[in-house]
Amino acid sequence: MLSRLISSSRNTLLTPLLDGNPITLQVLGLCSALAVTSSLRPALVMSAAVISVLVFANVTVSLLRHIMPQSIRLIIEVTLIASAVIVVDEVLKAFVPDIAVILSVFVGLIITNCIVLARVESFAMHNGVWASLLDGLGNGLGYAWILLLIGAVRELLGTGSLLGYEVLQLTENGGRFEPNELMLLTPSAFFLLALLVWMIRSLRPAQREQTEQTQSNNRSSGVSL
Amino acid sequence: MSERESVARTLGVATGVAVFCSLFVSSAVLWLRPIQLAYASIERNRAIVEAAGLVEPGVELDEREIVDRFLDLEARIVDLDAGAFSDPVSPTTYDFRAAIDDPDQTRSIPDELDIANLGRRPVYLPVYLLRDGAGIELIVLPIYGPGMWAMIHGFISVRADFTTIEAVTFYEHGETPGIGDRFLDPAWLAQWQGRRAYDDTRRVVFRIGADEATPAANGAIDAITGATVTTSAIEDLVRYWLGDDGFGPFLATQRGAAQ
Repeated sequence: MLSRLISSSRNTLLTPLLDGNPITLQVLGLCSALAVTSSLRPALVMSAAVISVLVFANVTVSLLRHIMPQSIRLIIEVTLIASAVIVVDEVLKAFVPDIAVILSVFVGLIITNCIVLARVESFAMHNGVWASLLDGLGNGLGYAWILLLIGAVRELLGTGSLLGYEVLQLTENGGRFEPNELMLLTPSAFFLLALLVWMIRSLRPAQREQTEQTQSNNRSSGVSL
Repeated sequence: MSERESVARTLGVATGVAVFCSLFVSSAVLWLRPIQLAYASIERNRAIVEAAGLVEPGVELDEREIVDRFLDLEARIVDLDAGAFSDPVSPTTYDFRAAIDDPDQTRSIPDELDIANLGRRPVYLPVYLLRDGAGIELIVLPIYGPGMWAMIHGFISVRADFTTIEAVTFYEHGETPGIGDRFLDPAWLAQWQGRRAYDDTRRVVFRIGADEATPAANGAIDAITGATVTTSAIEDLVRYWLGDDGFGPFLATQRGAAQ
């Protein structure tokens, strides 16, 4: 009993990291993933913001799930999410004001981030508080590692630095690295994300989407066999 | 307990969530506001120091360096209605940002002069002087006015001829990210340097964007495509603050005294 509980908790926390990743599998939350990853520090702060909002929203909705009337379910969820986002935004403006300026509207847009509403609607409405907390944390971490990876690659290749510290010595400073400024522009996040999705789906064929083409290929190959 | 889908339950849950969320948000804001204000005052001093040319472009100063350089400037209070320095008000204790919103410390602006749609303005505003021996090298003036969504606040510095603009900085605004906020582009702000604010009759000639009356060749600053509301708001507020109801009479007096 106890071991089953632990293993289901572990699944709730770990599945969204890779097998059910909100960005690479569900392809949600892309807007912010593309916009705030030009360097590692904003990606780090954005990840922390999304994790806090996800955990808060999942826990509060899970607490209210038995008393919430269906007719006003969505507006209550969005109210709770919006309150968490406002508080997170105010915290960022107070403690990391320089990053808050870089993130600008994208913190506010966490309210409309599909990941948050998706977890609240599909998980927290039907599960207990502890499981909802782990689910929020897991999905937040799943979002975070993709953001951090893309942010790190873009900052490293775009400026030769990580978190502002020079890692690859630039040619202008006497080193051998010529930064690729394309990496600092938004399209590079598209390329990197696409490469990442391709890599993950090559390693985990179960994540591949069944298109009509592949379905008919499977059918015809079945017939020929 | 009533039925889950009943009207009473719906109203009760909605009210409960609303009360909880408002308490949560307002207590967070109450707790964080002082910290944000401390940062805002550093940003304001940074804008003053930058307008005074005490920061090399592209150099990031920490809080201490900003305060040090800010102390190199001499703060004075100007009585806008008298067009002269006013010594009874202390520049160290006078909070002009609080005065802006205080009906007792402001007076209404006559409609025909209110080109920046401010409605009211304070009687007293601080200015910051960069001294060159006994004379004035630069004078930094606060400017503000409504932008697209919120007040735009900044500083403009004027050279010792009290006619030529040296620099402009902005430290607070609510313009649309990525569109209106392109007025913060350093290359655009750099165009302001050396522009004449007044003609020989002390009429304000500062313009943003060329038109028939003031073609670009006469020194108008480029407008920003897509940020029309923001750039015209900035033009209006600069023209207002340099004009007859703003610092115009004060600068004219200073120019007369210096000559």
